[in-house]
Amino acid sequence: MNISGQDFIYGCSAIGAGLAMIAGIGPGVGQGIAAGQGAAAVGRNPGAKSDITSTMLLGQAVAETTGLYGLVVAIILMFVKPFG
Amino acid sequence: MGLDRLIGFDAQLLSEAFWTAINIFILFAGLSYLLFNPVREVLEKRRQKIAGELAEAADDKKNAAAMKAEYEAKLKDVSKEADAILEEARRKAKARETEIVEEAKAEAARIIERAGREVELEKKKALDDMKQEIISIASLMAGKVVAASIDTTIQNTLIDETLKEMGESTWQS
Amino acid sequence: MGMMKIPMVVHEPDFMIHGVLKYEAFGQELWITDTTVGAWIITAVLLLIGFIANRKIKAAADNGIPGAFQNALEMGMEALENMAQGILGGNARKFVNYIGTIFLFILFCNLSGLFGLRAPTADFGVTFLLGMFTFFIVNYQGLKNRGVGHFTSLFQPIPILFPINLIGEVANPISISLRLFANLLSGVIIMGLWYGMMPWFVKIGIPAALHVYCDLFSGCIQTYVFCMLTMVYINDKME
Repeated sequence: MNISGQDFIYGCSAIGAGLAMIAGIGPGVGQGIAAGQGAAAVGRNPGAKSDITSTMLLGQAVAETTGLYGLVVAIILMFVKPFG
Repeated sequence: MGLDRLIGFDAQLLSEAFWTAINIFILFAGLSYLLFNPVREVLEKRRQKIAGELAEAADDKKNAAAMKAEYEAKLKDVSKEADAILEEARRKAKARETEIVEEAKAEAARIIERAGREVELEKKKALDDMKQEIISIASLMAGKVVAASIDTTIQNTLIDETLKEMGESTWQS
Repeated sequence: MGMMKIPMVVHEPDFMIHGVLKYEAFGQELWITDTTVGAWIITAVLLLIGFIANRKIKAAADNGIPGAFQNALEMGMEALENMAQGILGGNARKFVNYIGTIFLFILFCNLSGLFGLRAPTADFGVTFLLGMFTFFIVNYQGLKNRGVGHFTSLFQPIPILFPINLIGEVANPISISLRLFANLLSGVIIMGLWYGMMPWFVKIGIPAALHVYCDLFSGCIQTYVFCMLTMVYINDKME
């Protein structure tokens, strides 16, 4: 099989995109912690359920950002082909 | 052919940003003019109206309370007045009552007095009548006696005797 | 190179931005894309809604009885003002119109995926501009309220932190625009993959659940987050 330099770079970019998506671990853990703390807070203070839920969702949406940066990097590697 | 892309950092990005900027400007101006400012104005107007109505209602309430106090005071006065009137009437009635009783008493006394006087008069009259009668009887007797005997001495004694017979007491009663 | 075709794939997944009309400007070959057209459609729809709302308000102002539509408008307006006042406090009044505009625009863009449009906010050009607007407003307010202090505050608390402070300032618009873009893009990619690569019998019913998460839930949350963060950044510069 004959692999040109271009193909090699695309392949490496795809691998890099896959590696970039490892960033999804962080938000997963973070959102899990936030959800757990939210559940604990609702358990302690069921009256403030709606407040806690909205704060939790807002925090999770912000915490999600790092994972989305990973996604953006992956997409740039895959589709913008900056090294191609 | 056409453009196929997901993301790219080139002039195309700026072009899209440019069109979006126009969109946002139009939206900002249009929605501010059509939606946000009128709605806010309506809300503000309503807030002021409700505040004005609340103030008015508080005013009315205060007025009503003042009026109520006034009427209550008046009502209290009225009942006092009624008491006074009743008292007055009772007093007057009592006075009238005593007056009437006095009058009645006086009237009764007068009637009794008059009755007494009339009785007296009647008695007198009866006595006079009796005297007259006696005198006429005596005269009759005297005429008879004279007819019987013209002796005056006898006549006088006869009269005296007759008179005596009739009794002293008859005269003086 | 002898690639085997997978029989399950009906056609290529499509989650790209497509050009609609080519034009030349500044010596560049540029395209009006389907996201731009979608944004225009959304602008037209919003202006139409605003026009109808204006008519209704005028009518209600005449006879004094607000209809159901106006009640909804007033509730929305109060919610918006409460949200702005919760963060900006007394300065909320100046920014309510802008926040409301971008709120409605982003919300309708995010939900437009439900109506078959390609969500305009899943195009970095759109979200980049929204982030830039936030950046300009924030820095304008900083300059207006602090004067020179706006720049010297970059050297607080110690001058050596200047690069970090600078990056922190510049990263704000990029982070909020990338957050919005990437959230919507992930939704678009998932939907595109599902519609493009799945056999026909899983395209019935199941995409509804995906739409609920990717368009409705994610779209609403990200709209809220974008507006909240914009206000938080502005409030940081208000002092």
